[in-house]
Amino acid sequence: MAIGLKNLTEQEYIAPGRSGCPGCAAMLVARLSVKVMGQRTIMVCATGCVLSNFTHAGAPGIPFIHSLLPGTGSLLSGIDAGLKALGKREGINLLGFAGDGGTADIGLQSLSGAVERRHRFVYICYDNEGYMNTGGQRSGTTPFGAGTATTPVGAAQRGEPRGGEGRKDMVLIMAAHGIPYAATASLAYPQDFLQKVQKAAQVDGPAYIHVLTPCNYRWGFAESLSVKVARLAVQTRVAPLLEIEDGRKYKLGLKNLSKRPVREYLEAQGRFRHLTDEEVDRAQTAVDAKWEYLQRLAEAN
Amino acid sequence: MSRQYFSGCQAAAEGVTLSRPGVIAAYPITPQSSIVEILAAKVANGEMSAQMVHVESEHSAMCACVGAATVGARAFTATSGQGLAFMQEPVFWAAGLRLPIVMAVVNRSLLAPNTIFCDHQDSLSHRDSGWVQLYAESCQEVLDSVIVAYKVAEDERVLLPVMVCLDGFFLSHLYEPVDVPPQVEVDAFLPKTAPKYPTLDPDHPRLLNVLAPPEYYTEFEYDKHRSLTGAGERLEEAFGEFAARFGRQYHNLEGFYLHGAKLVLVGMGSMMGTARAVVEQLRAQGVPIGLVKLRAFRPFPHAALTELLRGVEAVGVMDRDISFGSSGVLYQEVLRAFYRQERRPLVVDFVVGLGGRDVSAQTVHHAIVELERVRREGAVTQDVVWSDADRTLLSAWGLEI
Amino acid sequence: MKVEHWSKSRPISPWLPAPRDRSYVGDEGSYALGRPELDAAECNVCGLCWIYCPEGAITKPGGKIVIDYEDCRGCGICAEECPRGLIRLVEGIA
Repeated sequence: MAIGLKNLTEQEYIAPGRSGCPGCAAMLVARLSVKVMGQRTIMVCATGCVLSNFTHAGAPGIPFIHSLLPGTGSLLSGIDAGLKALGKREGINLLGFAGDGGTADIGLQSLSGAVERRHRFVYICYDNEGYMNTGGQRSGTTPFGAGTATTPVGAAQRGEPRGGEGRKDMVLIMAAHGIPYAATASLAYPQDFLQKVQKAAQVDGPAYIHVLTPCNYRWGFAESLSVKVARLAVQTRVAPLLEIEDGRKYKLGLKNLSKRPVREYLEAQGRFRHLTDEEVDRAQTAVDAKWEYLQRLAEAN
Repeated sequence: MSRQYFSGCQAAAEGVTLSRPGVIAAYPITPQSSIVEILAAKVANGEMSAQMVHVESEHSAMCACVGAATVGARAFTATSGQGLAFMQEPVFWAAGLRLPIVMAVVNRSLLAPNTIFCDHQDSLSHRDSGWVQLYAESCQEVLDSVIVAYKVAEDERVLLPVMVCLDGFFLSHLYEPVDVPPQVEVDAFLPKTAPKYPTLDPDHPRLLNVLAPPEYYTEFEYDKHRSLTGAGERLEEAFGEFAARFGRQYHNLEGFYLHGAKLVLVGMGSMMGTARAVVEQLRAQGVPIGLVKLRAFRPFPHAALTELLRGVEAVGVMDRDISFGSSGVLYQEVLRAFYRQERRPLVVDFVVGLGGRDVSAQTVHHAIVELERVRREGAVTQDVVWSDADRTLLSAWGLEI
Repeated sequence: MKVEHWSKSRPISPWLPAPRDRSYVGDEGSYALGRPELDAAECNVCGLCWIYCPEGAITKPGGKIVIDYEDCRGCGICAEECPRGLIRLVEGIA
């Protein structure tokens, strides 16, 4: 039965009383994902914001293990193989959970290997565009111009200097592996998000979901606006909703949604406060070009 | 019981097969690759039903072994040199998580300079990790050590991973006759029981690998240290049971020609074979020389060592390694063994066999001559002797030794 | 006891707006923006506040929205996302 807002379980698998920031969207992603995957899930969580929440207080109601930051993919592989060796693989879900650092940067190698070898797991990346747990340093997914702890805004250099074109696109990287199912999802479109997690859990192989996860503390907006900023990201096409099957069949969601200017998304965040009009235009051009590219991929099906 | 002509790699693979692993996750690296190739062939032929995970790096190999062990499967990996260095993070992690993983380390030195050849730098650089370390001298010992490794690792009083070390090329690629124990006997020696440690199980949700704050981090470490030190006795128990069942008696360290010995060489690995031959020869000529071969480097058998070396006047430690800026590592352990003794022998460190340099009979002989000179002088003027260094080459480079 | 927010003395993200002065210690509540209060009479239990609470502090037992004020951090997402604007954030203590 298709999962939705109305039939999502009321059971909480993560005890409240954690040490995360108020309004943390990453914890919300974790909370909802585990609700979809259910009780018979083993969760593997890389070092990062979500892990820190768990290890400080949040007792999980499901088996949970902390993976080394470079090794979420490989730990998942070992658990998958170990359960198979014991004849216990059936009826157990595996959920890998990591931030952009543990997925696109230091964790990329082990995730790539795990996907290439076709182990069976759902992998969710909460992309808050930086290494937030260690103080907000830049990562491979930090967008152009963003102020971070290691790309601060100063006289000689103003935020992340690397152009948006060089930003790692994890869902396309996963597609290049021919992964059975890869998608982007957003907290602002919760029904779509829940259904994608369910779809991923039903794949007999690896499945990847990338969730742009606004970080109120490091991106610089009020705690209550986490979902609103996520919504703006989709409405401005900064974070398109994409589904890719077998690495080839692209489906672009909300194609007919009227587009909002990228400026609205940028102006909502303190980390972009310093951008000039020219830089905002540059961001708009990059977003438009990417959208057009994705549209062509979707139409090619 | 069958007798086969095996290389060290083949013997390791045979030991692994007999131990019935659930998961084998490994990455190729010279000179270990044959071990994994043989195991892959056995799986391909249907002779073994392990899950082979052909990981994309050694770091992933150890993480995958941890994953397999945390759900209760028996895990194995193998590596050498650079590979062991690359997996250092999860090597320490596995010991801290108290998982009974067994790893074959085909000893290979560490870059730079670039090399693929043997010394003990790789495994000894991980001596602080909390792993049990066993060093094999012969192919028979390699096979037997793997089986004993699982026995000790899975003992609930230990619950620590075990490294079985064999010298790269000198042992891994050396062919020797090996007695292969029958599978049914190994199954009796290594019964497959439910894991004696908490696992990831949806029926019993647990959070594994927690943060331990300063308030109780020390106590976790003490528990690990205590289990590792106690593993010395567990090893002796396992060796005893192994001898009863398979007829070959091993110990954490073994003495040869110690009766009346005034000089003794101490070392580990395949070079002990050469050393024993030289010692035997010199003994026949009346030289009061003996030999102690170390099998277990971790936990280090300090008490047993001082017991064996009681009354010895001079000890020559053969270190196939060097802790740069200090001395060989085995030497430091031997000194610790004697520090609290009332009567201490003179101890000299012979750094030999680095980077695949053969520890020849001549090298051993040279060390014994030097040791005898020290004994006669009654004092150690130079405690670390690079005894097989080429003085001609060094002086051509303008270096004194 | 009022404790000054630590980032005031060690600014690490100078491009971010200065944090509000709030007390984190003692009996006083530790709500980031305020304590959420729901106008239950107008609520049709759409469940979005339940979905969106990062702490899982909002439940909907027997078709009614209940907020657990001990688990609530006062982030205000529920107030922001309620389609009918029925949740107000008020100054308050736990």
